[in-house]
Amino acid sequence: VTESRQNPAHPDLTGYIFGLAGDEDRQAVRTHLQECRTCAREVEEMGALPELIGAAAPAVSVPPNLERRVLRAVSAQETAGNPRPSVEKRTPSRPAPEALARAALVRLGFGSVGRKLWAPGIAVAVAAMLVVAAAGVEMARLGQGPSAPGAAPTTVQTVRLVAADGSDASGSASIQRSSGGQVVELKVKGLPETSPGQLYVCWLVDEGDSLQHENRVAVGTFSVSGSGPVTVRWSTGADTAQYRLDVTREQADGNPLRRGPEVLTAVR
Amino acid sequence: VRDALDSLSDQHREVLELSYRGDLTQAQIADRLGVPLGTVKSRTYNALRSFKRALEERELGD
Repeated sequence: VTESRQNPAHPDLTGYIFGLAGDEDRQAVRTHLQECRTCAREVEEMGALPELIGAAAPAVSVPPNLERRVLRAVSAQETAGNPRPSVEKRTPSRPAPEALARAALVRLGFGSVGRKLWAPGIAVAVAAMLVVAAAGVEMARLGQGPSAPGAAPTTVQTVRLVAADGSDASGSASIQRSSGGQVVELKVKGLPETSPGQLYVCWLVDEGDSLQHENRVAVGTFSVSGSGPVTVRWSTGADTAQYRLDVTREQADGNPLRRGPEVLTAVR
Repeated sequence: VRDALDSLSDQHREVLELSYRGDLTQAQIADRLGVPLGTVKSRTYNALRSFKRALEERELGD
C-alpha cells in the first residue's frame, strides 16, 4: 500500500485528511480525487480517523482521582461565596468527543457502536474542570479572591518559575491559605503576547505526568497583551504543596487538556 | 478507540496527535520532530493505516 502511495502520480493525502494542506494543495487534491478512484477510496477510508484521534485523546489522560479533586475544588469555590460562573466561557466549540467518535466510527463502516467510550464520571470531571477554568478567568477579571474580607491572608509558599524553553520569561507564584482552599497569585514577565485563540494555562502537575498520560489539574488561564508583567489570581481546592506548578501555552479550543508547550516551570 | 491509539508505536501516535492539533503545518511538525517533510507525510500515512487496522482488529475482537 505504501509503495502505491509513494508513486508521484498520487499526491500526498495526509495533509488534506488532517486539514493541514494549503489552499493550493487542497485544490490540487480535490481535482485529483475526481479522477483517481484509488485516492478517493483512501480519503473515504481514512477521512474520519482524525476525529477519532481527538475523541480518544481525552479519555486516556484523565487521572483517576481528577473527578474527586475537581469536584472538591468547585465546592470549595462555592462555599467561599463565589457564584458558579457560566460554563459557556469554556464550552467546546466542537461537538462532544463521544458523539464525534460515534459518528466517525459509523462513517468508517463499524455500524452502531454500543460500547461506552467515556465513563460518565470522567465526563462529569471534565465538565467540572471547565467550570473551574471559567471560575479562574472570572475571578481574575474581577480581581477578587475567595478569602473573607478582613481576614489577613497568610502566604504559605512561594514558588519561582523559570522559562522552560530557554527564553527570558520568568515568574513567581505566591500561595496563600484561605477559607476556601488556596489562592495562587501568579506574576509573570517576558511571556510572548497571546494571539487570538491562544491562552496560557497554569497547572498543578502530579508525579508521572506526560503528554500521553496527563496527571495534572488546571489552576486557571490567562492571556498576555503588551510586554509588561502580568499578575493573576485564582483559587484552588487542590493542595498546591503536593504538586509542581507549570505554565503551558494552549489553543483556546475548549479542550481542557494540556496539548501545548510548557513555557514556565517551577524551580524546586 | 483509545486502546487502538495506545497500541500504536510512540512515533506513530506522536505524529497523529501533532497533526490532529491543527495548529502546526506539516513542515512545522517536521521541524519539531527533526525529520524531513517527506518522512512526516509517510509516517502520518503509515500511522493512519495502523490506526485503522487497530480499530478493525478491536471491532473483530468484540
